[in-house]
Amino acid sequence: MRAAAIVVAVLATTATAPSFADEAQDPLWSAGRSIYYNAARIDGSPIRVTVQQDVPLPPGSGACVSCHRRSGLGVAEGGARALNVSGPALFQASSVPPIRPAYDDALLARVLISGIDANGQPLSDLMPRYELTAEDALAVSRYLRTLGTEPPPGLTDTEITIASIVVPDSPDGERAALQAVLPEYVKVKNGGTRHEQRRSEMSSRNYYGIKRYRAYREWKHSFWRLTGKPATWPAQLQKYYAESPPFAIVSGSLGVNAAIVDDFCEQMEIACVLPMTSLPPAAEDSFYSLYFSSGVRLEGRLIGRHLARVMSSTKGGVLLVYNKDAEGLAARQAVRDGFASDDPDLISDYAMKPGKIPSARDWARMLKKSGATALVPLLSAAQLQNLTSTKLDRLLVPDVIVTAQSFTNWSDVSGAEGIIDRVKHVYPYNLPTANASQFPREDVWLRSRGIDLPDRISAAKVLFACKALGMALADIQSNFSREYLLESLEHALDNSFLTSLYPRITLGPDQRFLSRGAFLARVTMVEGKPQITNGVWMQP
Amino acid sequence: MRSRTFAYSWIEFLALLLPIAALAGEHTPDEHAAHRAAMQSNKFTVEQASYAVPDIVLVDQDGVEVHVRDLLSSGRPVALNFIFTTCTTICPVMTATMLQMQGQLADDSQTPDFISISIDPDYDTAAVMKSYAQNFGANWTFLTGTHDDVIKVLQSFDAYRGSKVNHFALTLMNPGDNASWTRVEGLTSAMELARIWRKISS
Repeated sequence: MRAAAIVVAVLATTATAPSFADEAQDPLWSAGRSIYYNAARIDGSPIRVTVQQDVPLPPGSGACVSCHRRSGLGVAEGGARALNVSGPALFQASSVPPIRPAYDDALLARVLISGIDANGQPLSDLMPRYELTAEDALAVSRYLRTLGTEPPPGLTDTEITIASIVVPDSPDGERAALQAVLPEYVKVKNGGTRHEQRRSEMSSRNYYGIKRYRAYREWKHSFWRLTGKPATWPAQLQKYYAESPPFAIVSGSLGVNAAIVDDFCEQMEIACVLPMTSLPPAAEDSFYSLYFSSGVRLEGRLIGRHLARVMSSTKGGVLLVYNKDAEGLAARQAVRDGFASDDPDLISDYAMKPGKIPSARDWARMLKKSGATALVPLLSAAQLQNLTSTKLDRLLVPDVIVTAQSFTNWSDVSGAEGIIDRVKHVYPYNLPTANASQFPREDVWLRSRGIDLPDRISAAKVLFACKALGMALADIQSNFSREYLLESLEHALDNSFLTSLYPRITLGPDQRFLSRGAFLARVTMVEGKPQITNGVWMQP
Repeated sequence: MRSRTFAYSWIEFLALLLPIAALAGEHTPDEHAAHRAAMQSNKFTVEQASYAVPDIVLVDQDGVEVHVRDLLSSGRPVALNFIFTTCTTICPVMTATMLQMQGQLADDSQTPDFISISIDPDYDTAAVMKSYAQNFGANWTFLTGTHDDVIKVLQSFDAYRGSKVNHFALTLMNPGDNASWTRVEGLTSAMELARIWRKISS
């Protein structure tokens, strides 16, 4: 009957939340889920947890999800191994080590309470012992029976469906990168997959068949192009999903309303791997979406921290000029957060109509009025053109100017040579070098496919997103769980050298930003053009 | 014709694979033997070691600068472990165990300064460390810093293993007064840790 329910859910053209619509009505299942995720009952009462024989864990700690993870497939980390507790694994006899009979409700209750496994042997001291009532244990059992049983959409025996999302306000450079890189990557991958599939067929016939080859699928990729106002996007996303639900969403360009897509991916429980956006959701508490960095908020915080250092030995204040749009407002708040001063009046800010180009007179007026000794123009290169103008009295321009890459591309600023010696620029990527490629790992592939775009950063980001997804799919082999895909990325990307975009990427369980710092760089004239050079890495 | 060729190569493949499988072990069912052994074993090792503490400044959970050399090689008694706040497996256990150990030693005359150092300084800012400590009710010093500084400190204690996923349970104890360090690798009960402490500090 549950199978029928799943079929109905998949076929429904107005499908919304996919997982276990029926189960969620079942109070025992919900109770079990609560214990699995929070080590607490639905009413909030915590379950007492003891580990390492005599060590109590604080309320909420030691929940099953910590080690066995959302997928239930477990983890190997820190010298410890948490086993696969998904329904199909747990409630069947295991013929691969650890060899044991199937768990049932009674055996599961015993192992959770006293740590004695289905073989009658005590589990390692690292597995917590839980003070569960009989009802609690039955609830956990009910939940685990369903864990990992829902077949993910977007998969057939030979194909895996992938999608990338583009929004109306996607920057041109990101659009061009997606158009050029994604279809080419898919083409190259599927070209290789053809041969892997043959190996897969051979290995399936072989008793010693190798699991990895059986996991190969051709990528069936499409773009989801959203149109119109953001309020209409959730319905458009649902429509795309209903027509062809993907296994994962990769790359894409989400503009400043990334939160809408983030919410969709949380609701539909679908992995969203490294989309491009300057404004991901503020809190790092989504499970399904993985981002490059926190974008303008990261850059803003670093500007604030730098200013706090500089202004502690300088008199006067800061003038922050920003566009009155989502990015500008978020960056302004982040600068203030990073500055963290007792005296908020030290920063005076000026909200500009987005895209307006202040004249030399406008600059003079703003600078004179504020009396600022530091200027933070969170504006585009075009908007800065009169700041560098000779019509503006240079004496008015502060000695300290701090800019951010999300707003200002210095190579596009004309007449910059007059002020760049005062500028420090927050640059979140690997620094450009004179005679070598800035992103060697990506450039090798891009050049080999004849892709030479002006926006190299976006091209590199799209490529890296594809590579990360490809690597994750290879890692999870035939365990096609969307949660396991993300859990695998959490480990595989930490300290990885898969990309040259950043000097270092780090990731961990429940972390969703790859890069958490940026260079504070200088701008110098190189062959008549302003170039980012010399930087010191800063962390918030 | 095709099936005969196939049957021939199938048998040949099988014949080749049997001894290879036995030797290589890579695709046999027991590829996780080491992990399983670690999982079932409650063993830990205790050994003595000497470490040269580098002259580096880290920050504690309140953002206050801490000179690592002053903290860790000034002759004060110290119990030190290495964690990161988003660790799912052993770090909550290690912090809770250290807390329990602290409680068990509360009435002792010789108690160590407890210190935890992050191995994920990029994510574990001072604020994050503070929140983690408060969640456990741990009132000791939690240190973090810039990535490069923290790595130097970790390396000096032979605690650095590259990616976070390779980290391991490590507790270092020093009774002070220029003694060598006692290195406990592996998870223990709080009582076992307390017992080791009492032994080396008596």
